[in-house]
Amino acid sequence: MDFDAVTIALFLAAGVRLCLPVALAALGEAVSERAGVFTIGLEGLMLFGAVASAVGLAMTGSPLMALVIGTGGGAAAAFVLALGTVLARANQIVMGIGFNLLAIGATSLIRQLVLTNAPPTGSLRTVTMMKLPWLADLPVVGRAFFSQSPVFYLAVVIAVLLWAMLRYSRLGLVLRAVGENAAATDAAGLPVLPIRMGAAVFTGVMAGLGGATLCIVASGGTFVDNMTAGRGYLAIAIAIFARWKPVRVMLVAFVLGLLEALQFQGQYLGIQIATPLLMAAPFVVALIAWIAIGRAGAAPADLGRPFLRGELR
Amino acid sequence: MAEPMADQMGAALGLIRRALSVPLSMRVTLAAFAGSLVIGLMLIGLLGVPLGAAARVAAAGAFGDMRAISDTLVFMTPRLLVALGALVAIRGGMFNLGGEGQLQMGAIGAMLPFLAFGDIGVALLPLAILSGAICGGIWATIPALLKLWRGADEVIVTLLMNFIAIFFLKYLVQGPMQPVGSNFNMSAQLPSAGTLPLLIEGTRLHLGVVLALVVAFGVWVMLQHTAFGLALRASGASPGFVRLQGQSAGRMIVSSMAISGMIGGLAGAFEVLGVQYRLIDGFSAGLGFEGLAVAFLAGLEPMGAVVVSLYFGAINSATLSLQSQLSIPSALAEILSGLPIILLAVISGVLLAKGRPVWTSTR
Repeated sequence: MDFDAVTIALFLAAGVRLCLPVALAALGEAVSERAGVFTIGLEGLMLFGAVASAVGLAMTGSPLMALVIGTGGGAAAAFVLALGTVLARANQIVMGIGFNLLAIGATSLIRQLVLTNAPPTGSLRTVTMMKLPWLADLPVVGRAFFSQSPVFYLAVVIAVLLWAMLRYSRLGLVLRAVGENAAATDAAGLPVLPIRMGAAVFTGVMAGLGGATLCIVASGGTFVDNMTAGRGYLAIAIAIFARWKPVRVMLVAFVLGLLEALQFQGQYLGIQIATPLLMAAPFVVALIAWIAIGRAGAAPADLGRPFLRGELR
Repeated sequence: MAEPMADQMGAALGLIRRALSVPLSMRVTLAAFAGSLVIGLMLIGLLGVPLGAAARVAAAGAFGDMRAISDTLVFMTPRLLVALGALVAIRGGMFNLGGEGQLQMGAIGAMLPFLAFGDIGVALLPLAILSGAICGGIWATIPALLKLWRGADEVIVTLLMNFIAIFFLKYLVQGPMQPVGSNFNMSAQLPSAGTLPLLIEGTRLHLGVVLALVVAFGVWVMLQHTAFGLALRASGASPGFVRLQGQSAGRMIVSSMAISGMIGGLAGAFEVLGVQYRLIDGFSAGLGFEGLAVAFLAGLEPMGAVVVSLYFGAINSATLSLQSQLSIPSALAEILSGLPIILLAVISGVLLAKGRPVWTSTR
């Protein structure tokens, strides 16, 4: 079997494209979990981002504005969610399950009320690919990684910035301190709840952008009910498997994206596997990876625990 | 003149005090439901539908006649079963968020005897139910074993396995289980001997509804009146205590998850055997997560789960009527299912922050 460079480049490019929504959401989840907030509602946040972007596209006609509005929608939804999980100390898992149910209904309602009467978006005005000068002309990798939508470059930049922030900045230290031991951070005079709120809203920004990317970049601007189809849960698994390290989140997401890409590119690569099985593959691999880690990796010690002032641990 | 007034005031105060003497958890739950119904009504109002008409249509749709009542009960059944499964596991200390996957595997399991043996008459139905329960049970035992073997957190494992099961079912009905020449994502139809009999002609009320209620009673008896139930609750409340007692925490983890998955599997099996009569891609549409919400809203009590799942069933049949008669989008059902659990979690959280926890959480 011989593959030409174009086939491989297209396969890699499809992997990048498909992993992008999940990777963005997983970056957000990594940050909120570092701060001790387990955002099970990530799936719902992505849905809100997606529907907001579809509404944005219908209103403005501009894919870029749609992405911005989708990001805002995710952030707003995350703020409401965080009012419950952070400020009101609601059980984060129970709250997340309820939030995801609500999100499926609410986004479907928004679609039926707002988007059915919207004028058809006409031609597929998706975000155009952006070729990076010089880099895009490289063999294979040029087409795979440097002829992508601008959102991909943004995601890479965000991942690197997050890595630097968590590792070297005071903000990163404070964020991790809140996740490891909220009571001690509080005793040190740092505002635990505002920091957690901030981290939770940032998660919403990323999940909203992820959902918007899914809707605008990957699906031609059409919102379909429950279109995330479990990607939010997959992103949670990626964030944990990547040990909350942003750059690793991107790499893990990319590998899972390649698996998903097999359903489109697999026949050119000589691989014949039924589509539903390939769609299940990222979940299977995430599960196997999760089992392989086992007890080894230590999670932030206060992950999932509501902050109660003066509670001893 | 002032005397009777004062008496009435006193009586009213007494009534209020008696109302408030209802246990805190019950009051919180009632407040959550009341709050979400108010929000639901506001939503309907915002859609420009007169509230009186909407309320009439909703009530008639949920409980108006025999058909409406049986629809409500049929909608109740899978949610009740998933909730029962979830609460058995959670009471045992395992956060089983895999109800959706266990339901999918139960549905697949319910088809297996027919595919293996063909139409073998009366034996088919019990075999199908058994097979559905076993498939769900096996699916739920995997996270338990992974937890023991590798320490893999069950929250993530069960969540991921949900989607593996969903896509596996999709694969089956597009491939191995799809009848030759068919293009639909569904299996062949079961013979009538292999389906749950209807209890009332002209309605959808099937035997599974009764069986689900029997399971609810059985779970209650098991939790409250058996040594196993006591050990299960003890292992959920305090794993260390169970170890001190010289019992194996691992055995409790596996058995509670196996039972939990078998009940969740029944939910899927009954959907196939009593409602769809075949395996269809996407038949569940989040039933597993709704069942989980039911379990939490019921305070992890089996009898509470009956009441809460009846509410969920009523919401679903009511929104169907609202959609067909008043064109109110049926997405309202998910909103009214998600809202109470959110409100409950928030109220409980606020009380926790004030030092009055409603739940003694298992984690």
